[in-house]
Amino acid sequence: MTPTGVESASNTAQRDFDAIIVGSGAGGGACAYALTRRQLKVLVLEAGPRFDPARDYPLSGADWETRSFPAPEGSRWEITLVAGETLDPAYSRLRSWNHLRGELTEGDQREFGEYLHVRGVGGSTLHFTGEAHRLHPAAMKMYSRFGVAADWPIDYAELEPYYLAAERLIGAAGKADEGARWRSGPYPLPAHPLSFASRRIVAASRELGWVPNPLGVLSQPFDGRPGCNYCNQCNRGCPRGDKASVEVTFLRQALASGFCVLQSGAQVLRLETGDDERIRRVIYAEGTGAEQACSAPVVMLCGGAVQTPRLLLASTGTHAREGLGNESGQVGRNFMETVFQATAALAREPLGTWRGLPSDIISWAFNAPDGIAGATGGCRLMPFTSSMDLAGPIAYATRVVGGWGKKHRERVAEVFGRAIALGGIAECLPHPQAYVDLDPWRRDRHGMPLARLHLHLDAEAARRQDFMAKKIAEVFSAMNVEAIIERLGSYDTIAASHVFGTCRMGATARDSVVDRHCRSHRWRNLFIVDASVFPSSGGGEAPSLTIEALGLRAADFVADSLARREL
Amino acid sequence: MTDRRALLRWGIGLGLLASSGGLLRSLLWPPPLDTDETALLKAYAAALLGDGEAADAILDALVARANQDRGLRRTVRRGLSAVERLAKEGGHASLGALAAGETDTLLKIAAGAQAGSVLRIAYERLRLEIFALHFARPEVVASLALPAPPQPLGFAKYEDAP
Repeated sequence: MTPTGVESASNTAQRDFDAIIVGSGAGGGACAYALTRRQLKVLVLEAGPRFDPARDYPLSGADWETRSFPAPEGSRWEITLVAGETLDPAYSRLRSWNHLRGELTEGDQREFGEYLHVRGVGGSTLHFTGEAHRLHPAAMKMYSRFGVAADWPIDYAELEPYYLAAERLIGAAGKADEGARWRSGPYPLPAHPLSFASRRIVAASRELGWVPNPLGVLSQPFDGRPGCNYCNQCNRGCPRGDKASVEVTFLRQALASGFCVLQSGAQVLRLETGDDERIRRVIYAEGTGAEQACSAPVVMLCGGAVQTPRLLLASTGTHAREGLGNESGQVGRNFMETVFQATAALAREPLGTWRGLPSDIISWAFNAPDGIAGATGGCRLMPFTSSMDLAGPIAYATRVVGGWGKKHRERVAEVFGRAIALGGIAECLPHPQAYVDLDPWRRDRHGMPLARLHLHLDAEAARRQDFMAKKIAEVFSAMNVEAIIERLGSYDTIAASHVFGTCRMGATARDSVVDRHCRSHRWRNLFIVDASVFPSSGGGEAPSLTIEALGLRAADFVADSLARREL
Repeated sequence: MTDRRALLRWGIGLGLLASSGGLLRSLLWPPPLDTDETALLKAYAAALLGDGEAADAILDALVARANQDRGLRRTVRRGLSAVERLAKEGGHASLGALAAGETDTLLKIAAGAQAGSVLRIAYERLRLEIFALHFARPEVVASLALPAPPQPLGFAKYEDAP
């Protein structure tokens, strides 16, 4: 399942490529796949390592819980962080808490948990839980309908065929009727049967309209990949290849075409421009640190909402003194993070919550942008036990059961499988004080300034979290759980996995970085295809499928333009 | 006279430099646990697991971790000296000499100590460390409802009642 098309950097400099793609996650993989389908020659430069599932996804030993993912050296980016706002004491009930340890944070500012991402072949799809979500159509028109954020310059109808194509490629499993998210064709695979624990959640809270969560996890064998075996640990890497991470779907097919070369351990340092409003060369460092240069008619940046603006801002020169593509001053601005809330409880009866899929059901009941009374922006709710890392014995011994000695061991055995968590993710709106820039002090080993994240949630973020916390509490109350045992959330903890908005897509060069085809307003052969182009974050939808749909769409435009010799 | 004063100044200066260097070194690179500290750590960890459940291999692994991890070693050193003081207040020679009931009392004090106190930090950290080692043992995992690690078999009967 591991891509095998890697060639040495010395070869890449001599090849005649049609496009250079920077980053091999959801955007890069989809672009590579679509361009190679049109028989265009593509070079994919990936800064991180190639993962070996046998070595790097350690889920088969008794000590699996102690093994972090991703583990290989260099599989996370170095970043620096500046926390912004002071905590609003009116929402202190949202403070992260554990029933054994009490409040988990102190002080009046948010604490840094983690920026959850993977730097490597497949990008953050290596650790995602497989969610294959389409955006709510209304969430793409936040400015014209609600006066916040910005409108997408395209609408749902334009993206829909590409959503369907992406779902068919990855083998998405779901149920046909998703309300506002109309479909022109069915899911390629049926939804997964629900777990025992999720059926209890549904039975206790039918008013939330739970439906099978659309997942890029195979409910039956598909395209040479096996069906899921329900180990519940999607976010620690999928050693079987049934989860639709990019290296086993889009990239695998791109490499199989013979038109794609993938170079891992190749960090792009800067882009060089010419006098003709075009990117002339891509400069990258190999693992050894040696600099290489390559060029192609098209350059597509797919590094995500933190690394793409970093690369653009670091690519200064006579043509771009404030950073490449930054004529509008919008590169790095409008950073949106993951507004989340999660609560864990101890059920009275055995549920076997170590099994199944991390989030096999979802509630879209409050997902529309006006879904939460008193706040703009929607949310979604889902099971969260595995995502809160509450599936293994060590978690029970340290976070669920208090005390020590024989009684402690007996209690761990007694309650094992009864910890259950629910979570919610909500809209995050852009804020002038939330942005990415270059750290003036810290550089990586190649001398490139680190990306610096300035975080600031909008005023209504706590209201959305409070709403999700209340809904989760209602579900647990209806389930008659024994106790609430843990609460985590964005109120006081920075733990972003979905990040967006730093190279906004828009209709005009005045207030956006790329146009409706993901092309730079100024640099005619430069495209950006990742979540940085999202003008709004959506109401909690996972972004990977939308990024893949944008990638397929942008690649179609590139291929058509190349065919017409317009690039 | 002047020479003697200058010599004295240099001597004091070098002495201060050396002692502050030693202080800095001990802060940045605290030495490995000595024999007494190792015994104390093992006694505390054994008390957390209780009933002779602590396998030698687990205790040795914990000591090895503490000797590799500077932060953990500092927590152990500070925390266990506070525990030892507490034990001696009860008239005992050492934590290792306490009866089971007395160890329980001591752990209760540590668990109930003020958040952020040396006693509480050491209790929480060592509890986490020793349970992480103990509950990752195949024979311990086998005693729970969990039938096996997540892979390679997965949990095909996830729809059924456990």
